[in-house]
Amino acid sequence: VKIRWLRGFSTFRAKIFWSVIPVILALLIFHAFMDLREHRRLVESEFTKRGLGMAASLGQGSELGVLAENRGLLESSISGIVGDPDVAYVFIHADDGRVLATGGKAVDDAVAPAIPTAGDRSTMTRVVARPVRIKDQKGIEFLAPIVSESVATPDELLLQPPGKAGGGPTQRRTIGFIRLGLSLESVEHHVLGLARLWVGITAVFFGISSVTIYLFSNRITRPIKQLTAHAQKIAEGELEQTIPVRSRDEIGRLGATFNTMAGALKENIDEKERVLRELQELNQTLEKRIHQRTAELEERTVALEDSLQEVQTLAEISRTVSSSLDLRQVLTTVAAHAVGRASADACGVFEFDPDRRAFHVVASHDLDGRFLEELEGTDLQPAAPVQIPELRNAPDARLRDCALRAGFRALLLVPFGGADARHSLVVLRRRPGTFSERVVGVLTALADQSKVAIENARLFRAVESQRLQLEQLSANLEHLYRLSTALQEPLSLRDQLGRVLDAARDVVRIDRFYIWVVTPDSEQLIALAGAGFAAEDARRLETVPIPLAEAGAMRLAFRDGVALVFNEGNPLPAELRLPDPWSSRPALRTSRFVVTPMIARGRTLGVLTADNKGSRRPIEARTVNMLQIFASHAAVAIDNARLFQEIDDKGRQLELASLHKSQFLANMSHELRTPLNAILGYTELILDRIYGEVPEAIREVLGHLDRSGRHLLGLINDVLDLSKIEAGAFTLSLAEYSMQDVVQTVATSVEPLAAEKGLRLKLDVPDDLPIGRGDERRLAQVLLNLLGNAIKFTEAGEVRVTVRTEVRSFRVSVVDTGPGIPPEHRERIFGEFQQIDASSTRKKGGTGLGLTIARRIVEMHGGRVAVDSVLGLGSTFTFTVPILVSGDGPRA
Amino acid sequence: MSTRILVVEDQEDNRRILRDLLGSVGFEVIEAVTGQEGVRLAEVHRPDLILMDIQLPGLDGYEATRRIKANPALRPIPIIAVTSYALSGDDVKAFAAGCDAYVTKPFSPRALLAKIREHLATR
Repeated sequence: VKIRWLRGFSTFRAKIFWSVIPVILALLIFHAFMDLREHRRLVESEFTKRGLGMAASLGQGSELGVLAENRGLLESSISGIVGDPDVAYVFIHADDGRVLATGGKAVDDAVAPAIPTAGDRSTMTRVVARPVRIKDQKGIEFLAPIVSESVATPDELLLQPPGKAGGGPTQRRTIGFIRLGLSLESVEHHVLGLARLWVGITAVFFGISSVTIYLFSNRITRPIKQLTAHAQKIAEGELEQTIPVRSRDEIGRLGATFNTMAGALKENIDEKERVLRELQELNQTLEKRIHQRTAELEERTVALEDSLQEVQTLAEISRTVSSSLDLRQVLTTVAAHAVGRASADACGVFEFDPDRRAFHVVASHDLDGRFLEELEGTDLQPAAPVQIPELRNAPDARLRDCALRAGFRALLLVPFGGADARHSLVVLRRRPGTFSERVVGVLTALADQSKVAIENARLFRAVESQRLQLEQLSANLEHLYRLSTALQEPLSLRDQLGRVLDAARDVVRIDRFYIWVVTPDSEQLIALAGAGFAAEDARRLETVPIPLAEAGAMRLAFRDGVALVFNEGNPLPAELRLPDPWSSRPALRTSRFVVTPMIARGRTLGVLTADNKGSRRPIEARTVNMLQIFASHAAVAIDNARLFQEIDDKGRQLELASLHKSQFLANMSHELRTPLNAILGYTELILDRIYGEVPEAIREVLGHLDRSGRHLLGLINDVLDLSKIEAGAFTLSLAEYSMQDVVQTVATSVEPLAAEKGLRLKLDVPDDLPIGRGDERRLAQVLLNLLGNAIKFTEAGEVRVTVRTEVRSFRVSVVDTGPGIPPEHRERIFGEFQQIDASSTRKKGGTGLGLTIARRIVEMHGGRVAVDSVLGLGSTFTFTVPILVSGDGPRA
Repeated sequence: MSTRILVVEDQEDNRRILRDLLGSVGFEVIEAVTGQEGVRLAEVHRPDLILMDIQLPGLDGYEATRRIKANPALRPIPIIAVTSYALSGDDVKAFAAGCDAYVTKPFSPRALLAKIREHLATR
């Protein structure tokens, strides 16, 4: 029967079933087997006893029959037992083996009588049993002797010693034997019945336990199934499901958790749905708006297209006007158009000159030169269009005469150019008559276009001229800029200024330059650099300073900080001339001369002089402006150069001072070490009792002496290290090292200090740290410093060293439970000679150099030191160094 | 024959410390005040070990060491440089001159003794 819930082995229920049933079955089978075996043993032994009894009694009962060899007698004694269903056969043999009588239902199946030998028989005093097969069935054959005894007297029996009773061959004699075969069929039958019973019991137990397990597993799995079903439903989105929580066991709790989860999910999904709805609404609103906007945009587009067409029409009309900036050509075209439109014979565009109060022609069409000449200067400037239908009646005689001479009979004049109209369009016709309104309108439009053209041309001219000016200015500025940047170049100042001045001559339109700087005592002007002078003149100027008091115009410009310009019409006054020997030198005398002060950082450094002696060009205002700009650049350059010089000098002095200081410190360190060696050496020798026994009191004092001496040595070493760092003489000697060893060594050396203060010293160093490359001694110095500080400043608790590897770095932290460091001091403690306060220095000792040195060492390794601290709880000093510091890596 | 140690040192105090230290453990101490004297006494007495101060007047410790090591008969004698210059590179100079070990002042007599024994043992 295929039971549904046993499908597969994967269900929980099946697992329970298959794990329990084999155990029960095995137990039952084992028990049945044992029971059957025991039972069979009991029955068989009972059977054997019975057989032995039967054989023995038959043996006794047959004594007479055998002696008499009376078959009938024997058969009657046999018949007493063959009725027993278990008896298969009975044989009574005479002593010599002859069969005296037989009986039993299986006499024929009895195996060939195994006649006991005479020897056996003589010793056979009791019944023996042996297994045989009777008709392929198990059986037992009992062999009993038939003994004849001569009756002894009771006295004899009594006189016989025990154990010899019946032993005398004269009294006992075996006269024959009996073979009794018992079939075990009934035993087998019995056992078979028992086995059937066990099968039945097993089946019943099996059935009962199956049902029990089924019910039990059902009880266990039902809530799980329910949970599963609910969880599936939740997964399918039916979040309203709640799982009935009946029990308070794990499954019950799981159910409750599922409920909570489903609740949270439902809220979440509800929220999402709400947001989604809102988004959809928003989307719809947006779509509506977009539709609306699209419609609006379409309307506008239509409106725009209309406008565009209008604009295009206008543009087409004015295109010819704006396409050309040649005003004459444009106006000639206009005039030709005007003739065509007005059906006239000639046309001219005239400009009114308000100064001369007369017209002159700008452009014309079909007008001959003679007419124009005659018309030139005619005073005709109306504010509105005017026409003369018959020139013979024209009020102006001059116009009338020349027009009639040229054959014209009618005239139309349209002024244009707004209120202060200066232009007019004049159309002439050989036929007299009035010009129609339409013609006047068309000509007015043409006049307006001409106005645009004229305005365009004017603007273009203005723009063009401005552009040219700008280009010129820009070129000049660029040149000046290049000159100024040249001043920053690191050449000798004199050469530089000379080159710059030379290059500047063309730009600022100056023949000769000189830069004069005032001496520091403000007494004299020295010629620093020049351009354009003959070599001999330059040499003379540069070798002889001019006393400032006698420097004339240069002194004035220097004193007042303003530029002075002298030209031919504005000559240098006599009192501002240089005295002899300079003024007497013809090369220096000129009447076209500028002197500009050179001011930088509010200080006048000297003057820039320039002249146009050679070219005799006047000094222009533009030139003066540029010279002033140039002078200020030059002043800045000179000032910078002087500053650099000063800084350079200071730097050299500082370097020298620093070198002296380092040398001094090294020497001092040496000089201090020598006596210190004696102090520490003697102290140690005394303490080691080299000079005999030392009283305890002195020992204690010597201990202080030793500590103080070592402290002093520490100070000297720190100062020396620091001086080496400052002098750049501090270098790393790189080699492979084990960070574990470094930590261990340092920890060992500070262990006594920690123990003395009752602090726990803990190391957290992994075993598998990689081998590092760096300056082992210096890194140990860093750790010693940090660890020493931590122990020094911690009164109770512990100090811990932690080493970790990060990406290509060791990260070593020293954590203490000391007082902590206020945030404002955290950076300062790395400075030289810094502890948190002076009192702590006195209390705790130390130079305050250790951290500075430690930080420097770590930085030289390419690492960093950091401190983190919580006031009252402790501090953590951490340094990271690259695991492998390369040889050309960071150094001092 | 007791172990003989040559001390080349110009400072009386330091000489006395070494004398007292080495004498206390039964070493025989020969003293030289200058480099020249140190070289001469090394040749005369053939000590088992030499303690060589570096900053000596006249012939300095490096040079004295070089001269002693230049003599094949004296070359196996271990020389421990004792210097108060703790600048990096001094140790290199000392080893370059032929010193077998390097100790900076101030030294711990105990540690120095340990170092001396170490060099006597490996001689």
